[in-house]
Amino acid sequence: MGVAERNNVITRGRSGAQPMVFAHGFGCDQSMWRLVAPAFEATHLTVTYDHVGFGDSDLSAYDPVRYGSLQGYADDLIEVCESLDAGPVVFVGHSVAAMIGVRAAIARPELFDRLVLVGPSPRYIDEDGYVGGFSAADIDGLLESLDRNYLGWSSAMAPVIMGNPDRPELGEELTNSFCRTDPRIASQFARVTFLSDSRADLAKLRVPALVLQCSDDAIAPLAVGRYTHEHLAGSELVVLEATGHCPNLSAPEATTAAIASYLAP
Amino acid sequence: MTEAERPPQELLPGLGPESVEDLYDRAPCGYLVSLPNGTIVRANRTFLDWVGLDADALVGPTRFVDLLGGGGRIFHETHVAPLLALQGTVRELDLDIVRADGTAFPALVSIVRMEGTDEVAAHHRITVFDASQRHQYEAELRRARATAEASEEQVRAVATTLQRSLLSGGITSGAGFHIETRYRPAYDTLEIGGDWHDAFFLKDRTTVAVSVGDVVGRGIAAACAMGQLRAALRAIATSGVGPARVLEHLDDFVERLPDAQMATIAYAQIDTATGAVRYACAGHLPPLLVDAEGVATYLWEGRSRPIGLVPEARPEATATLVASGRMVLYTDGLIERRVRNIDDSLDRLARSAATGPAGEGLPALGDRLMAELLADEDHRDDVCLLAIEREAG
Repeated sequence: MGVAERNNVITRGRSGAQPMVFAHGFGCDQSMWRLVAPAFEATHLTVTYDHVGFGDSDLSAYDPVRYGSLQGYADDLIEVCESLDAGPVVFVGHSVAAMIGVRAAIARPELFDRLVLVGPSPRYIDEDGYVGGFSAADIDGLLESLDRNYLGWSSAMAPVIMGNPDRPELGEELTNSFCRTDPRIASQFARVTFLSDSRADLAKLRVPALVLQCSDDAIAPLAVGRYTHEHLAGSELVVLEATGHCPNLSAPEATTAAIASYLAP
Repeated sequence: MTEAERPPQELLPGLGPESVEDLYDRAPCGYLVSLPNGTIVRANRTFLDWVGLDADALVGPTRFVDLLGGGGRIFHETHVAPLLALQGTVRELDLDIVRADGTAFPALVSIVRMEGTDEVAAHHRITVFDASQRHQYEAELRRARATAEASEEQVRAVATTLQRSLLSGGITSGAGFHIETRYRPAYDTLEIGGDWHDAFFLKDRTTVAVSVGDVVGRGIAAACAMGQLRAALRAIATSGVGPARVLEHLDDFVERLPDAQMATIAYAQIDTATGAVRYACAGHLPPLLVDAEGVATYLWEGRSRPIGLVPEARPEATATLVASGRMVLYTDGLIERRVRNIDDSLDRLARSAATGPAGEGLPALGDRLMAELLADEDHRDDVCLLAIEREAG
């Protein structure tokens, strides 16, 4: 099993151009980039992939030990970049994938040209004066929500092939894979994500980064985006006027424009 | 005019267009309208009553996600919002809504995204159903499942202990001899079936008795009958009445034990000093003798019908277990195949038993016979094997 099959790596855009690797966060799969990645196909080789355990990745490759910390996901990202064999990449990571990218870029800086961190948070739980926005009890509540909604997902989402008359560009296959995850894997990734602490990593990053922050984000509040920016030497901070944690879906044009502007020579 | 033929407004006078507002406000479910970013712009009376909020407190300053607890908030942002954006609808979300007094209101939530039109901009319609009773019911189901699982675990432990006890107590060696046994029940979930093996001293303390038997049927009923028959055999035989009398007493014994009727038994007692063997078979496959040179011989004498209702005198026979010789007792599951006649099956066992590598120990023989003879197993049956070896000199 190669990396391409394991992580359902899909490349589009200009072959021979600089690769732009998009990684999804906790919750769904690479479909999160559907409204953003195509905008870069004219200038880049766009690469989207699923973390193991999500989307159309190879579920049999899920190893609870390897994926027991963000490092396992960072190692996968490094392997994805190596498999491209096309020079340093632009990495775009949403949510927890932002910190996955930071870890990978610390370990292998030569593989990364620049990082775009969308809604990053180095630490979700409040601690010793640091405000991440959540308590340990909230994480228990999340695990309970996942548990309570597992059956609903499988029956309500799985067999229904719904067209999207309003958004035909999204296609029909989304409802079959999107956000559907083995509950065991979803639960472990939730723990790995929301109990992680990447604050100490920030100072180690030597690759330039853009922090793309939503003005009104219930998961990664503005203060967390500022914290990340302040602790990443040489980073830029752009605040999008957008509500929610997923500007790649709720404000795709603004997200695209901010990334394009950052990458512009 | 029947009801079906009358115009709807005549069936329920007063249900005019002006009551549509009331249909919304006092619907049997909570009904919210929000902007695509979640800001609540309308809420019906039912919802406000359920959560204990005024319209002023809710409409305008509050987003739907703000009504959820911390865990539900993350779930909303990471699952619900993306699904809404990509497929325009989510259904039957099981979420707790936090009431004004801080308590949780268990709800089933469905949301649909309405695209903007000339009249009204894009918005979300959210219905909220009271799921508190369903939650209590589900909690009861979870408790019942936990109780059932604990009880099943207990039953399994009891069954395992009982089953082991039914086959326990056999001796494995003594002055001048060794015994090896193998057992493979038909069902993976049980540790034993209707087959048994046993080895014990007669009361003279120098004669070793061995028995292998097979109770009709499989599973737990056969295992229970087996346990009784095996214990009865041991109790009867220990006094030294000899093989024929042992089987005759068992005929009497199973009169009151229907599950054990038609059981087959191979029984032998060996004088460990001289190698003299007395044996009898009640409907059972013949014991196999293998001498020190590897010559295999079946003991075809001392045969009579299976243990059963009609008492009659039973025969027994004698043989000799020479020094370094072995005797193998077994049940039909070891050798019988649907596609092969019994003579071929017996030949196969004799060949396997006689053609071991030089110096093969008794444990290795037991392992090899099980492996070789079960390799072509075509249906799953209880399998039992007992081998006794008389030491050299």
